[in-house]
Amino acid sequence: MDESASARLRKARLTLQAVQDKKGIRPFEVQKLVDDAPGIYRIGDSAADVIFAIAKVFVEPVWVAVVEVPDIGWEAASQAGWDLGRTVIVKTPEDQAGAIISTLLEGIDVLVVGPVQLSHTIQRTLAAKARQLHRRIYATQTWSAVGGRRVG
Amino acid sequence: MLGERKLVLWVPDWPLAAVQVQVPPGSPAVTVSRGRVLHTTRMARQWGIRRGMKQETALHMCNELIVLPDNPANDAAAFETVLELMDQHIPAVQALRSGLACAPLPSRERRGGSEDQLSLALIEDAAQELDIEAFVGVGSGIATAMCAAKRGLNIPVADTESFLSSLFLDELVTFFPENLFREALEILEALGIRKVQDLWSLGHKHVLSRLGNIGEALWALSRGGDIHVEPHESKPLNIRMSHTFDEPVSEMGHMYFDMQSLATRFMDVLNMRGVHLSEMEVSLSFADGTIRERRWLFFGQIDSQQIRTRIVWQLQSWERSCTSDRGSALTGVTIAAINAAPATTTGTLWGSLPRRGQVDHVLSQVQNTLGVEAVIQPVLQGGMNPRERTVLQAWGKNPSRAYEGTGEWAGQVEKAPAVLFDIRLAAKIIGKNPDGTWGLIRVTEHGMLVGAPERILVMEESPHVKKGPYRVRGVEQVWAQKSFWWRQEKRTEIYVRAAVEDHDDFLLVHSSGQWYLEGIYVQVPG
Repeated sequence: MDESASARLRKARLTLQAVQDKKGIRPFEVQKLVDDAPGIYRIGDSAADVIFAIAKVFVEPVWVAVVEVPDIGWEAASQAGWDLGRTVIVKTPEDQAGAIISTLLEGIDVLVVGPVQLSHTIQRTLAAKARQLHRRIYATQTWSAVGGRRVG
Repeated sequence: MLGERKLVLWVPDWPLAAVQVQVPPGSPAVTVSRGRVLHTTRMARQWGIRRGMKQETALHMCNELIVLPDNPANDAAAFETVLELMDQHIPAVQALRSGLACAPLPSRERRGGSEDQLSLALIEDAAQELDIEAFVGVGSGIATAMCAAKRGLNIPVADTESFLSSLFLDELVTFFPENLFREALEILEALGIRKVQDLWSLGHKHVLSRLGNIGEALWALSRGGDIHVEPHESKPLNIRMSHTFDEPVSEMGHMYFDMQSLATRFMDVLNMRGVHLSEMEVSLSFADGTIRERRWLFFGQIDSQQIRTRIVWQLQSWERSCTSDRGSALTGVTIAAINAAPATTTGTLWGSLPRRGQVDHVLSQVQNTLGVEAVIQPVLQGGMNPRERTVLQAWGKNPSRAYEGTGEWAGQVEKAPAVLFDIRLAAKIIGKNPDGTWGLIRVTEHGMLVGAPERILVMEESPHVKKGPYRVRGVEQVWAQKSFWWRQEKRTEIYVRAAVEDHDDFLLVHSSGQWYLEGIYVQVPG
């Protein structure tokens, strides 16, 4: 019973995918991601979600910093469209994460922030700074800031 | 519009003059690097001692010779003596770097003498009290005053235009950080514009259209203007941070770390507030209740290292006064932002750095705080499996010997998983053995699986996969990556891509007698 349900779901997804491909329809979240509005975006927390969501931002020549997102297959990321020449991985101790993200916003266009503990105040400050400096933060966890959008 | 009247004091070849300042006036002294004389005082030169001479020879020629080690930090700290001398003549002295300081000129009524008299008093005191030759200049706007100091001139307001018109552009910005105007000057040079007058002929509008924001700053300087960053908010910034010592201290000891931490915290607050610092005050509080303050002016982008360096210079000067029994024990250090502006407006002032320059700047700031290995870059190379094919290199390091990515890698694991575990998860493959019994699937020494896999048991939890058994739908491919005859350790790694129910495909690896979950393949959406 379970097996057939799972097989049906898989088949349905593949059919949907095929129709989308044929008609050139893109899912809502993908359209949202190519939007270059500054601010906070919420994405899924698996490495695969990160890869496919962020691959879309490389339609522009942007710099991307990946902060504390583990287990990314960089070769797959490259195949999905990441420009690894413009990608850096940043490892930060939790207590300095806010300050480090804040520094990165000064020069990096897109930040992908993994599961780091940031107080609500710091999250709001960083969101404001991102908007002011026209940067985008893609967070894999809920970000309590005005203007946070959920995508992916 | 002409800028504020400013006085600039410049001591040419400061490291040389610093030797003079660090020893009693009239002493023969030298700094020595690797056994050779580097800088000499006037008196030492009178004894016939010259740069490049061996230390032993110099000592032989003058047995009263004072020998100092070459230490740029000491040289910088020695400039505090000159700043103290300036403090006696003029308020609000701002240090730009060692050997260069400026101060806004107070009105004639408040300073009680002419600009020329003030300049002369400073030059005379520097010569008599410190035995150094200082150049003092006065002019409207910071660049005018700097160029005037280089020639030892006082440029009256009415003569500003004619003075500036005769200058070359590289002279105009000679005291600013080298990289600030370099690109703009190169572009102008290519256009045949070398002098300030040529720039004026080009016109404000054309300078702006060709050079953007940096052109605006250059234009302002060339017209005798100032390029101060006006604070965005009318209310004071009130960014102030202190470090108080548990007990009054008399020597620097381990203070470097405390000061680095103070500077880093201060920089963090500036970053969090999104402001760019252009003027800072460092105050040292002493056990006898006195406070010594010094203002520092910054041009261009700064980082915590630059802040720490300024604090340390001031502390070194205090430490020297302690050793000569003139100083009191230190109880605390306070730093405060005097003038700062939103980072976005400094972009307007300084012109944005080239894109790569901005990226380099912030990443090296992060590396300064967390260490070089905190910022890394993934680089792809050739290799037999996904893990081998990715090298993680520290940012800023020269690209290492990455193997060529193309070409034949016989037996390689071709497809790359989207999830590649930083630390492999332990796993087991269970199934039917050839004799019909149920158990762990073994691997032959040639890399073949013995038996039919039925279940994969993931032994560790991860955000990407739950711990537990997964039913195998099929083992799609098996790769055997054998060790090479030239490697001492004989190890064969077997890679298996397994399609499982209710989950994306697994990439498993058998290594040293144990199965691991290496990665997860995820179908590309859209």
